[in-house]
Amino acid sequence: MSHFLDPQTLAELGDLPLIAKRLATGYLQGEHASVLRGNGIEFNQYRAYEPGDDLAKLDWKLFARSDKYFVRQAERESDIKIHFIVDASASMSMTGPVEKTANSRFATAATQPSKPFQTGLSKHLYAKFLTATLAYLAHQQGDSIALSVCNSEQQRHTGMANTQRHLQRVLIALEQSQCAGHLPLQWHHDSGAIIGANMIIVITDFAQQNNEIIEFIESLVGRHREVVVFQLQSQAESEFDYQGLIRFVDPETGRDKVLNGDQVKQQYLSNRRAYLKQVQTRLLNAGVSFQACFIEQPLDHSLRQFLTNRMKMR
Amino acid sequence: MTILALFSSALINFYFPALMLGLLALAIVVYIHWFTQQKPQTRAFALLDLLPDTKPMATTQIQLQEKRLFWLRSCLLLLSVLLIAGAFFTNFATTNLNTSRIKLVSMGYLQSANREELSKLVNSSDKNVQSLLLLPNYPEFTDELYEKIISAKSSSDDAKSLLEIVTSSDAHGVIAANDWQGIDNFFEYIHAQENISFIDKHLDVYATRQLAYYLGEQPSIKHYQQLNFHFPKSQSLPASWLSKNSPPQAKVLIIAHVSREQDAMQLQRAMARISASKIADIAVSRALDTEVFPSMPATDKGLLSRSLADLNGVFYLPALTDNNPNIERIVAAMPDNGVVFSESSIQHAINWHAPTTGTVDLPQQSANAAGLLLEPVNVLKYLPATTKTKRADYQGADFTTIWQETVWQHALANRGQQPVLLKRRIEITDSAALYASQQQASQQQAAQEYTSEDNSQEPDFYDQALKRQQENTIKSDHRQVTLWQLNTRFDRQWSDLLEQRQLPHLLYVWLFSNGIEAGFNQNYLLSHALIRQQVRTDQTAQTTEDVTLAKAVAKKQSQQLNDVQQENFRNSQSLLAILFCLVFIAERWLSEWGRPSGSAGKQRYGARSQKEEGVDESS
Repeated sequence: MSHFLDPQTLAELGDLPLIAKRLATGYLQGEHASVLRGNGIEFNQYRAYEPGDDLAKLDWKLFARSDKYFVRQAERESDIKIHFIVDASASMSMTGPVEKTANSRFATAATQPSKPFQTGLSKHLYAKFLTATLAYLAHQQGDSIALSVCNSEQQRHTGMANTQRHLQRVLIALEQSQCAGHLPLQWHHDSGAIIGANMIIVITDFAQQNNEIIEFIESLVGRHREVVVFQLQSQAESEFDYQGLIRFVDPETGRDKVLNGDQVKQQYLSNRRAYLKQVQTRLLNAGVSFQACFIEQPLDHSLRQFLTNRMKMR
Repeated sequence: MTILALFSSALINFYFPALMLGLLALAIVVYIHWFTQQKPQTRAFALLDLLPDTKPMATTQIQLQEKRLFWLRSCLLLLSVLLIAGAFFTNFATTNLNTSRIKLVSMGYLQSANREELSKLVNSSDKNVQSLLLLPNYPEFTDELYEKIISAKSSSDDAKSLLEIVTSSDAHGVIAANDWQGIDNFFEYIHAQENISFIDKHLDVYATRQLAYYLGEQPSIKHYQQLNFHFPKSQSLPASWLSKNSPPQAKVLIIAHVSREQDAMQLQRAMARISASKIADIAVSRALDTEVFPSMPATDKGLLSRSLADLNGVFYLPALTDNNPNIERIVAAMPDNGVVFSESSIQHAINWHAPTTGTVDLPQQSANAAGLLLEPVNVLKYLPATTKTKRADYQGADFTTIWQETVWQHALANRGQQPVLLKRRIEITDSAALYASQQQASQQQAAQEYTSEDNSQEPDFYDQALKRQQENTIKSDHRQVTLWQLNTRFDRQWSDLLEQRQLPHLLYVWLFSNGIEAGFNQNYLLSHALIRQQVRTDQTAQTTEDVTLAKAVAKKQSQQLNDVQQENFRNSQSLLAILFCLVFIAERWLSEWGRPSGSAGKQRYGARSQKEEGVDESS
């Protein structure tokens, strides 16, 4: 269980707090009053008083020292509710290449054998690491977390809490999850269980049959709720380095196609680019944050990129 | 096997059958297609819908993925091979064998028949009767040809000029080895004509009497019920030795050493076959007997005096290693006008006549050379001007067609050579031993006289020498016994083949000895092919009728197209060319446009993309 939390990764991510975009745009802009006072208030900066400002926020001591009016602005990090939804369908069991060449764009990953998940890592395992790390970071800053691991054969749901014990339950649920079947169609009906979350993080590979994943994610979008999607993809899918006659088997449906890798490479890459563009377009239109991750990349690299982007959004 | 079936069925003929080896190239292609298919590796892939639905094409390895294309291209190759090999279908057009009766005339018959027989043959032909010559392409025996043959026979032309008359084609490798082979080829030819119901037709074969010996031996003739043989009467048997000189109940005795028992049995079987074949009117009711002695009867004078007195002929088969067979005693024991047949191996023990031994030095002797001296066959041999010429002198030289008669006369004309057949009519006293001792010196003298004669000596020089010799013998108290000696051992190579198979030959010579009376007629001799067949039949009791590819190719190569076949050839080639064009067009269409589109995934996504675009626009 604890091996999901790589100390080095956590150390590198320690200065990157998980901040919800809506919190940054809501509470920190002063548009809405915070419902929680006291321990959670943290001073941020002083600002010159402007007519219309609440006099209760004037720093009278500073006025006494400087004889100027300053308004005390505080940044409030409230504990939000984060719900992790992990796609555990059979397609998530695809692994990346065990050995990488120096010419690969992921050569840096191969040159770091100390990372336990950089070679031969499946999408599902990568999702476990990613979820555990984000859950830990969220718990460290006082956020409540919940987890849903779903496929057609099993669905694991944990409650929403911010205790250390609950974090352990989340990690255990992650540990026990396995890939099988396909995404259940009743996801749409179960979405009510996660209505209370302020932030929903969906980790999937977008291996869908009839846009059911996109439609599900779009159904999650609501007021005061942020949806972040991590799309896991492998180098084999992005570069399509298959050569010769290959029988491609869909692990979810069992369908297969016998194709020549060299022959269909260009057309597949073209279709894939168009497909990803379509997915991103729909998600962006729905206000969903999209983050693509290669399972051959180091996990900290993906997390750092994601958190850095969020810091820029503040 | 399919190719062989095509050949054997003769449904398809090939002008260049050797080019059918192109099928081998086709087989290689098929082999590569069928046995080098690449087994696809299985990989899990989630985004299966993004993969196009194209048929995988071979890139690094040859694969069989397009079956329709494969079959089309195979047909294309097959048609190419058929076109190149000059295939034509024999049943697409009518042949000229649509008459109800066919007369097949062999060259031997033309050579042996007299004018009356030839004129009868020509006059009996009408619209329903077709006379064909037993030659390649089976030309018709027309009146013009008849006139030419009559004029040639009147001018005493030999068989070579006769052949030149009846056919203008080159005889190199075209003419059959003998009449029987030609008959056999004709049967194969007519059975290949499927559009001819040959069962209802009558076939009259005009051949030499040599062919009669084969009756009852060949399955192809057995199965043909409407077959009639006609033999020339000019050299038939009414004047044979048996009918003239022997009583009806004459007996033939085979005196054989125990080591020659197999030969004696073979000789007896040959007699039975000749009797069963009902050749003319001989030997049918005669009792044939065989006696095998553990030792030669020369030591059993009582046996000789008792058993040979009422015999008409004796076949004497001494041990091969017997240097002193004492044939004189057998000859002495024979009654008047008796005939003794012996082999040349014993000639050294007989001191009646001692020609210089030697071999006929024919260059490049081969298995065909054995038949050279046994049947009227034209062979491609370069006959040396002198027997001293070495074989190396003829390598690379142009071979000319020579005839057996030429070789025969050449062998006789050269000094020191033995002829194939020795004929002696001997007058002996009561004591053969005394005769031998008295005549030894005179025979040697006669032989020396002969050897000093000119090379243009006639073939019957032995008779002349013997006549001169007989003039010097005692005229009183003598009996006349004819001794035939068959010499097939003048060459070691031929002897290997004929040593154990010469006895039916000897018998045959005897039965038709009336021709030999007037001079040796090689038409009566058995063929090399039959000797070989007898060897196989006796040993394995099997007939070799399997049509091998090599035989079929050789046979087809020897064929030349007649007018009907040429028309068939043109029609078949046109049909094949049209088929080739059609298949080529189909192959091009299938390879360029007929393949399934590889943009299924793209189309699928395209529809989805258009749908999404529509949603976006509406939103």
